[in-house]
Amino acid sequence: MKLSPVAAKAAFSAALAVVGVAAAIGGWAYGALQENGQIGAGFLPMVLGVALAALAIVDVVQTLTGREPVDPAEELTGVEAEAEAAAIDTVAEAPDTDALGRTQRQRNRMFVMVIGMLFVALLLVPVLGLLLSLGALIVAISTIVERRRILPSLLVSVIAVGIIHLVFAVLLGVPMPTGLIGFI
Amino acid sequence: MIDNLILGFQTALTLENVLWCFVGVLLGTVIGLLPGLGSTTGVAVLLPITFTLEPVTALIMLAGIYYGAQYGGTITSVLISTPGEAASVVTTLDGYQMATRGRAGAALAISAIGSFIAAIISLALLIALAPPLADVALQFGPVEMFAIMILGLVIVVTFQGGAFVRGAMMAVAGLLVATVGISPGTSEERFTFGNINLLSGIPFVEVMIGLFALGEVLYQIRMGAAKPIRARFKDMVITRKDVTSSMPAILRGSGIGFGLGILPGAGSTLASFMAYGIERRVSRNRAQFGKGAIEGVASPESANNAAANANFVPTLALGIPGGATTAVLLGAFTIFGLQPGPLLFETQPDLVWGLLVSFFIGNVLLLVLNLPLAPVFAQMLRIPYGYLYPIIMLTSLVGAYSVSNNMFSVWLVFVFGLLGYLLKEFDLPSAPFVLGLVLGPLFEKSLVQTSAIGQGDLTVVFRSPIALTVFALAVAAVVLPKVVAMLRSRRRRTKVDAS
Repeated sequence: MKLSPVAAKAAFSAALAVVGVAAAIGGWAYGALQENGQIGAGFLPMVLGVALAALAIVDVVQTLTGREPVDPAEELTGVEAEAEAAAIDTVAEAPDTDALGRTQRQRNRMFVMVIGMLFVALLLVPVLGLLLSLGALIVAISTIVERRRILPSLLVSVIAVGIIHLVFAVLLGVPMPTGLIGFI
Repeated sequence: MIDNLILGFQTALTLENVLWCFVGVLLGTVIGLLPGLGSTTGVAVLLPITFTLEPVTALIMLAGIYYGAQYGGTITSVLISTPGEAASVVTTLDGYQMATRGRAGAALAISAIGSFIAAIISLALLIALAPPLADVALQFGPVEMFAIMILGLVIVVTFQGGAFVRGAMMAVAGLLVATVGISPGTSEERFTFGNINLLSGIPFVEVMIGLFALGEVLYQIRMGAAKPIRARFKDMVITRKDVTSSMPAILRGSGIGFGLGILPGAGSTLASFMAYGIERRVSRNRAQFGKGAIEGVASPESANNAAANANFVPTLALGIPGGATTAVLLGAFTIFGLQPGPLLFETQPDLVWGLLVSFFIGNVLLLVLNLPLAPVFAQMLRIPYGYLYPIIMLTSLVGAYSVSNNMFSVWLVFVFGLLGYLLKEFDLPSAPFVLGLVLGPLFEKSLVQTSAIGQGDLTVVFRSPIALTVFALAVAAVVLPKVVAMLRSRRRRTKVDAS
């Protein structure tokens, strides 16, 4: 099932409302007031949780009823809409395609792949170490997602990891996790 | 004052500080022009590198990144109509139009000159205003500080964050995230779920890196790339007519920028919009606005630079940041064991004045760098983003790790990176979230102290005349845009009826 942009926006705000309710309940459990009547550990989380839930519900309603509120900067100056229109003009020739000729569908796929690869790279840190994992991530993104040639991608990765190693590990003395391999 | 300035020059003009200032403004320019990077990201990502420096040197460099990025952001606005910073959005209107007419160089040159003049004017005002404001702020107790923080949050919600409800939602979410960890009032654990990494709260630098660096990268991947317009050295020639016709716009922009920038919570974005809006009404060349008027570049660019400097007035004098980047800088102060606020002027005069004077040096360096070299910087836009963003990810994640030498930080960046992407995708402003997160601990501390002063009665805040005045300003900040918009639409309707 695919959510429309409006439904997705409303769903995100609804999720924030749930977080707000959970925070309010948590705050209540921590105790809103102390015995001497002064505010307790749970006071602020409770108040903020209620406020977050209320605001998020208002946003859900506004989003679903199509009452998109106006930006105050635009209200005051009336120039925001024009600026946005000017910014959009650069890709107006083919709204779905970017300067590299990639469609929105392709970019969506790239987006998911990058998140997945980053997640895997972080899981591999205990084995490869932080720098090697992220170096491999650069090569993987450049070659698989961006479809660049392997040699330049390897070169970029080695140079970038080398500079980062020099700055953080050598100059700043940060003890990098080297993983099971124990290289850098 | 003179003694303080001399002290400032003595501090800022050491070889080490000038060098780091140069590094800061150079990196700032590059960061400002690269797609997906802005001053907030730059300061957050490079903050860990400064941990081994002296606090004053580190802050000089980080501040250099901040105002350097204002210059760099203009380059992308003019050449690819993609503002590197929200504050440069308005510049796309006339800057990009100038570029399409072969006047990209003139647009970049006038923005560098305008930014420089605005920076110098605002710096003089900053030096004149911040110390007396700090003196006044010394009289403030927890009640007044609580009121000022509310004002800061209200202003950031109103003017930096798009729609009010969404801005308020984000400010509240930021404050809520800041409650994770030990409660300042009762020392109880909250929302830590047994994780010792959360005892001292959600670390701020990692959140910033996640929201602004990784979040932005993910957003850019989905947005796709734009094609830059080439700017050449010979185009950098700017005529005397360009300068003279832009001068009133630069001066007006500087004044508007400074006036708005000193409000806690109001940043350079509103200043640039306001300056452009006013210039479009009063300029002699107003008919050309939107079609490539040089005043349409000079005015917002001067305003956003003036506001960037003015942001330091509330940051230094009150400890309330003016925007997202000054919020990160505020976090940097606390990492270096400094508490920004009125006492800083008394306890660390060399640091405060050294930092202020470094703005002057930094802006001179930026003018020298940007006037002839903008086309060289513009070449960086030709680096394929496909190579660039994995490197941004590498730098961000290693930078986050180095904050506390802990993989927990790296995973936090991942989580907040996804959140940062979602915020952008759903038009939820991040500046109020950041301000809420940064002010959260101080906000709760003031609240606890206020509760203690009133012995549980929080209405004590309404008994302080200063706090009441500040609350009145907060109400005005919410109501004013509505009133102005109503008046404008009424005037427009009257005009239509008359014609």
